[in-house]
Amino acid sequence: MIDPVEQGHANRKQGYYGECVVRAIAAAAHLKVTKEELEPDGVDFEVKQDQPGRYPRFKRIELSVKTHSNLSRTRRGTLQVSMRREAYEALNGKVGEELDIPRFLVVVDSPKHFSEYCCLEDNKVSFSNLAYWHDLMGEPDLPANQGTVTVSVPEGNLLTPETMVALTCGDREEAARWMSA
Amino acid sequence: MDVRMIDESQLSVSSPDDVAAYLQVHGWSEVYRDAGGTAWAAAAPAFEDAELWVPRSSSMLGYRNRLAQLLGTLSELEGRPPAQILFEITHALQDIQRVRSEPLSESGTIELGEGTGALAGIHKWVLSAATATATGNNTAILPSRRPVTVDSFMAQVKLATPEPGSFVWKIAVPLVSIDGTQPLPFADAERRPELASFNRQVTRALYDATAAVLSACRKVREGASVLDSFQAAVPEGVSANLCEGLAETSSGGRAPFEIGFSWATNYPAPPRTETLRFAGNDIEVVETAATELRRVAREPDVQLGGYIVRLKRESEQRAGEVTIAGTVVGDADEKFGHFWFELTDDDYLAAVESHRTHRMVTIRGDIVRRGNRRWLELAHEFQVLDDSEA
Repeated sequence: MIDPVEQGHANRKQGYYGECVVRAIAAAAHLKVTKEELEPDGVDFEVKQDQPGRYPRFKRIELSVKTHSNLSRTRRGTLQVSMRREAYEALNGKVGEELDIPRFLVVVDSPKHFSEYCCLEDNKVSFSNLAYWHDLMGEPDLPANQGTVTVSVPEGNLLTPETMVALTCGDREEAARWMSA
Repeated sequence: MDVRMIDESQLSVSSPDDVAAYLQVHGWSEVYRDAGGTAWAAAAPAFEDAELWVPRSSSMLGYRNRLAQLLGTLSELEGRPPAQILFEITHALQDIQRVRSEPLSESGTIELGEGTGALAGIHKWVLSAATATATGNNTAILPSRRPVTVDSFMAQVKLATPEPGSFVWKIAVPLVSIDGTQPLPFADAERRPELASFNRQVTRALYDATAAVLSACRKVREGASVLDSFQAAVPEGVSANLCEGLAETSSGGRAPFEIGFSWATNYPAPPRTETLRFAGNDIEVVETAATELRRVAREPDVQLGGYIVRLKRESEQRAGEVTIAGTVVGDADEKFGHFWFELTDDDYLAAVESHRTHRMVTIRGDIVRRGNRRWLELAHEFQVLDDSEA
């Protein structure tokens, strides 16, 4: 049986690694990441696109990052992610009502053991994981007595530098221009 | 910068409108708006890299964090603690006077006795400006009888939690009229300055008169006489009462202090808002000026109440000289003293009778100083009170 304290440490390390993966993708997209010391409930950090001369100069999103090493996949090509009620409610508001800027769920699929997180392959270092984004904004509220929910994240929602820019500025064409600039 | 110094509960009571009003007054303009909120940019070159985001509603998730971010940025740009900026945002519709005294005790503390004295001085200082504004007259000594609007005003003036930084008293004056009517948005008030509320007139008078006191102090340092310099400043609102208030504010009379004014965002701010600094020698001058102004000035239309302690009439054809021991009715300090005045005919006889029966009297007139005595000129409305009225 796994020691719950040890398991807790492992989960935190896994969560930290997942956040680092998302930060690396943001850095590769030339986006800024801000982690608030007292982060809002259900949010891990803010991603910001800084474009001087444009109004607004900063386009921003907030991300909630969940890292799992045992995600289950459906035949329909979705990842099944279990969330606590509070985490879901932090993400299912609408911009202009509960939210002032968009919020997204990011799911990082990581190896089980940390020794496999990052490996040397030929002449490069590879990260053995994939990240997926999911938009829960506007999804229905949960029934009053429901404590958890399972959301289906499409495997097609791969989080790449380009998709992260598109999520941040809200426009795929602008994201393409940004990435090729 | 240390955002954690902020009282977090204050973050959620600051509405986006309060924040927007603060930004507008401090040179920021709204440059973008969507369903979630507004983005603000400043024209000042030092701020050109900054853009601030204000959520549309304080009920939005993460509002407090967003405001803490905004305060952190403003704090760095303005070089002021975030808590101070937040205070101005949450008090956006109030004029604030910051009296920063420099007592000898460690920063953030003040000896109890000194603090009590300073607070009484601040109260007198504000009261003097309110009285001068309500009466509409700038006189060297303000009337003891205050218009009812002054009491209504003073009931609205609040003392906010002091700040460390030596010792900072904060006085908050809401900009609403006496009847509670809300002020118009400042854009309208700018076009129609006559709509400025009584409260703003008072705080403006407070600033102008205090600045005039400092200016008179400078003239004294340059060699002018105390009395001449301060009498010349009476038309600008300087009075013995104001000077007494300022002298008492100085923590025992010698501790230097400075007064900063920040203005509510719903009215246009006055053009001059520099901090007014009183050095130790300025305070000595102000104290002397208060005494001198009282010595030479006429205190108009006061009512005295007390007991007759001396009577003198050399002939029935002449007025009799009467001395009363008592106080000025309505004087907050209720300073006891002797006053001289003359009475003729029936009033003199009534005075004699009141002295014999030891009954209280009242009389109205103008107080002037002659030598060491205080005389009541233009004495009238002499009344002997029944025991039930005394």
